[in-house]
Amino acid sequence: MIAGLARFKRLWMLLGILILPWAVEGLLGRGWVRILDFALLSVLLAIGLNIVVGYAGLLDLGFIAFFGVGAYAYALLASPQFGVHWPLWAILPTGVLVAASFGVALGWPTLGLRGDYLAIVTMGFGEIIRVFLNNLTAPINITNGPQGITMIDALHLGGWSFARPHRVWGIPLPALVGTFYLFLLFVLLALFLSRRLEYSRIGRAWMAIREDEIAAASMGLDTRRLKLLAYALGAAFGGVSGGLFAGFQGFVSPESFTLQESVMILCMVVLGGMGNLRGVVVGALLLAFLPEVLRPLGDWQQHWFHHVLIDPSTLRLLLFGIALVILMRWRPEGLLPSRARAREWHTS
Amino acid sequence: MNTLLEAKGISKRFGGVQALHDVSLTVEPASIVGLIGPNGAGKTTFFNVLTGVYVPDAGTLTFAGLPLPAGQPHRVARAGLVRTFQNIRVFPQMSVLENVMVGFHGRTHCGLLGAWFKGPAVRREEREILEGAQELLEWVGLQSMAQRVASTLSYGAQRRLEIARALATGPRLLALDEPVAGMNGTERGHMTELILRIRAAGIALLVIEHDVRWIAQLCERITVLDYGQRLAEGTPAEIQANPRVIEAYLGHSSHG
Repeated sequence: MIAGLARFKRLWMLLGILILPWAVEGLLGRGWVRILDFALLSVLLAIGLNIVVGYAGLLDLGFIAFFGVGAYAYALLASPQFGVHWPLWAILPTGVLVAASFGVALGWPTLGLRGDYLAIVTMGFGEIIRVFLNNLTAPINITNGPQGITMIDALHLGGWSFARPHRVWGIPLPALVGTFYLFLLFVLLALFLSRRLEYSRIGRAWMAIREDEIAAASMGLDTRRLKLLAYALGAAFGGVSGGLFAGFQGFVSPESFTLQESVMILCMVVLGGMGNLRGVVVGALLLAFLPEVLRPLGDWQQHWFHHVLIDPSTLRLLLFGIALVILMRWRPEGLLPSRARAREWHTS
Repeated sequence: MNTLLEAKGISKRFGGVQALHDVSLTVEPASIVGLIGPNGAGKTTFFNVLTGVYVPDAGTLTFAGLPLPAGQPHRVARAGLVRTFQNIRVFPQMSVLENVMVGFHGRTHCGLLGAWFKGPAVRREEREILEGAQELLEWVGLQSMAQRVASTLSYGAQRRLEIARALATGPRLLALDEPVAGMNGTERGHMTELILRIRAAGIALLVIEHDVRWIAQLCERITVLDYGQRLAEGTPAEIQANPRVIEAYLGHSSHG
């Protein structure tokens, strides 16, 4: 009976999500559907980072690198840069493999590190990747440097392009709404895979490593392998998100993959509630939308004070920062924390 | 019967400090061996070498006829030698039940794909882990606290939880680092009873302890460490009568 109701609740929620892009387009305009699509990619990234930081407890400050690797993998395999044009179903698995390999390669040297030291090293790795993307132009021009790679093939499956509007059973389907459904599919898949892991032998082992690595190893857990697995998986999710990003935007350049972006994803995970998927999704959506909501600050100032007092982009970041500080002051465990995190903050 | 654990000539140096010098020790299957000595004698260092936390500078470790992998705690645990810690190390924010379930990690198999597809074999394995963990909790008397957060348990209960978690790995030798430290008489009695039951289940125990009287009534054999060296080895009666031991260890402890 209760299970039946819960299933119903889920169904309603899914229906609500399916209608969402239409509602957004009708009420707020097409620009907001685009923002919504990008927000889903952020959610995908945050779900990936949550495996590394939330489950295994490895503070990673260079996570955006895997997003970058995924994006460039797509860009190089589907653009005039090398003149190759692979289909999506071939690119994404390749991107996943490449990103996961990077995850292992960058995770390997950090296996002995914890906490602050780990954060510093991962931050360094993140920057190294970005610098590489910026400079891999000679002797062979691979990444095209700071100009980035343009004219990337749009996301398409077979004859179906997600960059063009379609007509399904007589109903017009705008391109951005179709893209929303595609991204939603990936987000739901990521949520499912992540949740299955959380409540498995591997998820328990990650949690144990997070709590006490020495005790975990003494109980027969191969902590090195388990940590590498967390890095690889997190990176794989990041790589998928990056690939979709490249195909959606049609253009990638190194400046999309800065430290600030890494910090932003980490904020999404921490603010939503590390280790709790629902929290991570809420955190990612919130931080993806907040800067956009604050965008018309200049207009508001014009309206209230009849002239612009503070540069809107500066004020936007200021308010954003203040919001983060307030939230972390009153709810350090995040908006929707995992059981364990909530206890950490409120038992002692 | 073949010797279960044989440590021969173990030495370990930290910078200028010779923490262990030429220490040897054997444990027979299903026996209880005591390891005693004053503070700083090297007992815990010896445990750390034994369980792969430290790599010894010299000496050999043989367990059930095979060399123990040095410096690889997880492989030592999987070989069947598992420990508890002097300063309790349960997973504090996990539930009591989850703590014990983690102990089954080394002898279960579900990997990435198994967790994702969750086929019948994986479901069965999960059910076995759950039931095994509940059984062990019952065995150490913590079944009523299965859903509690580990860090909220009393000191004595956390020690028993650590033992249940170690038993979950399916050990042949359980190494306990000061299992009754800070416990009152009643709790000590419970621990004695638990240790004897573990031995009766065919598992050998190596026990570090300060309290000589408590360990003497528990063990078949005792090894005494002092300044990182083996001072004496023998039955509890021999150890308690050994003048060197009385001078080096018992003499001190009766004053302090």
